[in-house]
Amino acid sequence: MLRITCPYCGERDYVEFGYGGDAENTMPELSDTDIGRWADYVFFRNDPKGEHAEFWHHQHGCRQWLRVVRNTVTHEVISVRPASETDAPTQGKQVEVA
Amino acid sequence: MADIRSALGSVYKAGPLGTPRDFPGVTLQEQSPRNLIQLSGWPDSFGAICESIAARLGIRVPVDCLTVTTHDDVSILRVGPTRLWFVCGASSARVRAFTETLGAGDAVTTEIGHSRTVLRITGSEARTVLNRGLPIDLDDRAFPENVFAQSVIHHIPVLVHRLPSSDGPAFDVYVSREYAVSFWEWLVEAAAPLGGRILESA
Ligand SMILES: [Zn+2]
Repeated sequence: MLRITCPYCGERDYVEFGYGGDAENTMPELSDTDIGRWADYVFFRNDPKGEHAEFWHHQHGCRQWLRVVRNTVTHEVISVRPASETDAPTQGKQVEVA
Repeated sequence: MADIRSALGSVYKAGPLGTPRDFPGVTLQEQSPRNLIQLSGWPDSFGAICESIAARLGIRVPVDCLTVTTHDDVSILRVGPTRLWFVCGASSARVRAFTETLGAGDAVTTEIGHSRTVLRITGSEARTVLNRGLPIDLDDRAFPENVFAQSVIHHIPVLVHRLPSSDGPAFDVYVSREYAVSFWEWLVEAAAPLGGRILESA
């Protein structure tokens, strides 16, 4: 069972989320002409056993993109934050109703 | 604007539901079409938009996601950090007039009333029937009145709003029109063992 605590919606079941791929893969500068760096970017992924940063989309909740650090062995979710910190205005944080 | 027509049509039949019991466990009712306006803004300017909504429409925008504020016949649902739903009665013209003053650089507004079917679920077993598909804790402490959640039921995206009610738990469920019939069939099947009734559409 995988649950992700969305910064806006709280703890939710994974069925509400869509996986958005590796968040550690950074695109080279467009002016970069090094074929090796582009090949790395386009074709190669790390496959870590342990913590891994990845994008998840809360597609059936608040529709926000999140950057989740997850343990690929245990499915423990270590951290969740908005994929772009600019998506996190001072208002609109998680509701606290308890 | 063209009238909004029910997506359920002949599938919707008022009458008793499932096993007769001493008390109706669940009451289902399709709601009249809603004037529903979605407003999406940008992080840098969203605070200013919220302030102008308060000033021009007299409604405080909910600070937290998943909460609702209501003034007269307009409710604002904060469906995301920079996204709102205006659920309007007859005041929709006032809300529309306001949104028309906004430029594309401020916010994007979209009429989505035609795209949603709204079903009201009440009764002592309302939570039970919802939780047969909804992975959300509906206990009073976790899900009090005027809180809502966007989630999935039976793989169908829904928005479930707990209404203020002095008569037991009451929920409005917003379902995409294209899934309305499929969702309705699921709902009737899930509710039947609990007993209840289907009211004429509001
Ligand atoms: Zn969320």
